[in-house]
Amino acid sequence: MVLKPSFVTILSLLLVKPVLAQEILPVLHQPEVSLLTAPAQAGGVRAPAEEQTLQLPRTAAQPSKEWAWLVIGSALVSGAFLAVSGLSAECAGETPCRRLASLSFWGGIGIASGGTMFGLTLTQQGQDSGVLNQAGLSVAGTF
Amino acid sequence: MCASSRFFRGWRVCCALWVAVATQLYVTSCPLALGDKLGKEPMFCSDPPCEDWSYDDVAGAREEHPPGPLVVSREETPTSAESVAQVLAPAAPPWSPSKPELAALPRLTLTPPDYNAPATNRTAYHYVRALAFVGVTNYTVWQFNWFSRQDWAYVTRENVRDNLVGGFSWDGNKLPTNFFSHPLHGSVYFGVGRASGLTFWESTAMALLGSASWEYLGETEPPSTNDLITTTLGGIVLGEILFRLSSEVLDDSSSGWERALREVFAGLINPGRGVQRLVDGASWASGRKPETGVAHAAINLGVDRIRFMRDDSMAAYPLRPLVAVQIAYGDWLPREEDGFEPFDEFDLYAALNLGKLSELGAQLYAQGLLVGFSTPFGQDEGAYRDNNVFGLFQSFDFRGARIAQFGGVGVGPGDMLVLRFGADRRLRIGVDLQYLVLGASSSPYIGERTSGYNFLTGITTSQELYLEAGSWGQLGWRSKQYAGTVIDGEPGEEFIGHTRLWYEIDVVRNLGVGFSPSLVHRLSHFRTASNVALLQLETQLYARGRF
Repeated sequence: MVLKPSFVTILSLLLVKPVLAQEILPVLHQPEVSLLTAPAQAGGVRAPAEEQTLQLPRTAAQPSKEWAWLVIGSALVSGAFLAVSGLSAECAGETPCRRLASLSFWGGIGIASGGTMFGLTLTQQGQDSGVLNQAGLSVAGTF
Repeated sequence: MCASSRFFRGWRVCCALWVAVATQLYVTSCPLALGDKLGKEPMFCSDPPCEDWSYDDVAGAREEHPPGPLVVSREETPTSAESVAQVLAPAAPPWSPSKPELAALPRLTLTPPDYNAPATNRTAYHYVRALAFVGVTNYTVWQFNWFSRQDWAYVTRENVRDNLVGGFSWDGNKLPTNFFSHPLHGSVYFGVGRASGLTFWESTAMALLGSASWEYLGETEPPSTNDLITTTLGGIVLGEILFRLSSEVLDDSSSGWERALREVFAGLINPGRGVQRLVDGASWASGRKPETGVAHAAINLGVDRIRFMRDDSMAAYPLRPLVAVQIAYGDWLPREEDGFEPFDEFDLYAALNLGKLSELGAQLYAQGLLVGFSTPFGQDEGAYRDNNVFGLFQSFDFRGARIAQFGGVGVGPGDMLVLRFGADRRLRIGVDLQYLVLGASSSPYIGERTSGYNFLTGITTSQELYLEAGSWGQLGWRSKQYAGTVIDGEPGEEFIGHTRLWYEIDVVRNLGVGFSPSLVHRLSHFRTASNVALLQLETQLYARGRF
């Protein structure tokens, strides 16, 4: 007997246990790699199960890419604002002023580049398994 | 869990779903499942990604299999509902192939991953990420200097404007700063490019961009010509070497303390890569064991004595402790299809005399093959065949000799003949002629310069002979000569050279002793000052450990 779960059933499960969204969907959508020789494919010959199909390991759930791009955009905007602020300061050779202006300028560069790096890492979730990815995953999962 | 789902219609589906999920999780999360199928070592595939797999036919299977390409197709599973239906469907009867059918099937073999290979299918992601990391590198260095209250780090609008319109000039930093620290800094730029998945040539742009951006934006001082050259060219040499050496240390199949130590050590060798691996999680991701053993490294611990002659009198320093690292990377045989990748072959020698800094015993020599063409030499075949490699070499050299502290970066053609007589028995003869893009040597006459050295350009030539004689030990000889004209400093010409001879022999397995005399000579012709002729002899006696 073939059971056909309804859409409502699966949706209800996912709503009641949101964590299932991270566990079930990746498994159900897991790709397979089939090794078939050309003659075998043409003739419809199936190889033994053990040698024919390789199950790819489970991948993490894909979080919202928008979240990652939001991080990148925010970093670029805030970094640019800080850097321009630092460059617009007129210090006339005063060391405390120069120190502060340079901090703003390079701080902006640091925020922009660091945020971009962090955001790009978030976009790769599901392919990597780093702490930042997992942190981003949990954050993204709450939205 | 299933009891609670009675609230929903189709609770049996829930139970079946959980059984299916549990089965899938077991199959996909257990590395042994996949490893057993392949008859190989357990394997994870989360990192590196599955695109790294390679499918090769075993020779026997290929012979018996009808001609035709091996088709590897990736199929996306259907929707969730269909998947559940498929999982719960009665299993198909097991297929019992005959022997001919089994023999005709292709087999899956896994080649060890190449940690030095760039990312396949590079996209904007890799380039932007590398650029962002170069920015982070510069920011980190700048922030350190800012915390150290270095006045030249307080960059303002006026400084940036002056740097952009004022042009380049020669700076007055100390020679070790310009020819040792800056190349190391450049190696980080290069390393983050490689660690981001870029190729060697793409990463050279990262070294250049990182150096140029620092010169324009990182200091209140005008951008420096020599900094740009040494940071970029020296950074490329050291960066690729350090990247490859860190690959020799890394092993994604290891775990526990061994894995932690490997990651820390690799991070020390190549900080940019270490940080990147921490950020993207590669530091603890599982993977397959890489192919290693390309590098032949040795650590020398012993004593070092320096004598030098000036004005017909010989002076000697006391005996000092010596620490040295010697690495020969690659076997000078081309890859089957690709020939040589940049720095597939290189030599590195770094030594430190632990005496006073004023005695200046430090030295660093690195030279690698940029582009190479191999031709057979003789009739031999197989792993012990003889070959000749002609190509383009790039070098970085720094030496803290007492008579002339000097350094240089160069590039030029060279040739290497390798005769192999068996395991641990071979003879290597090499010669090259390089353009000295920029060099420097300390001098009592420095013209208008504020630091005690002159900048040079010219040519260098080096010769090498290395004989591995099995249990009889190894005999090596390497000589490098500089002929340069002063381009900033006291006008004149400089002829500087260093020659090192060494003999090493194993006493027990991989542990041995070595003896090495080396000679540094200098002859300087200055147009407005008296000539300088100096000689230095350095003698090393050490215990050697190979690994």
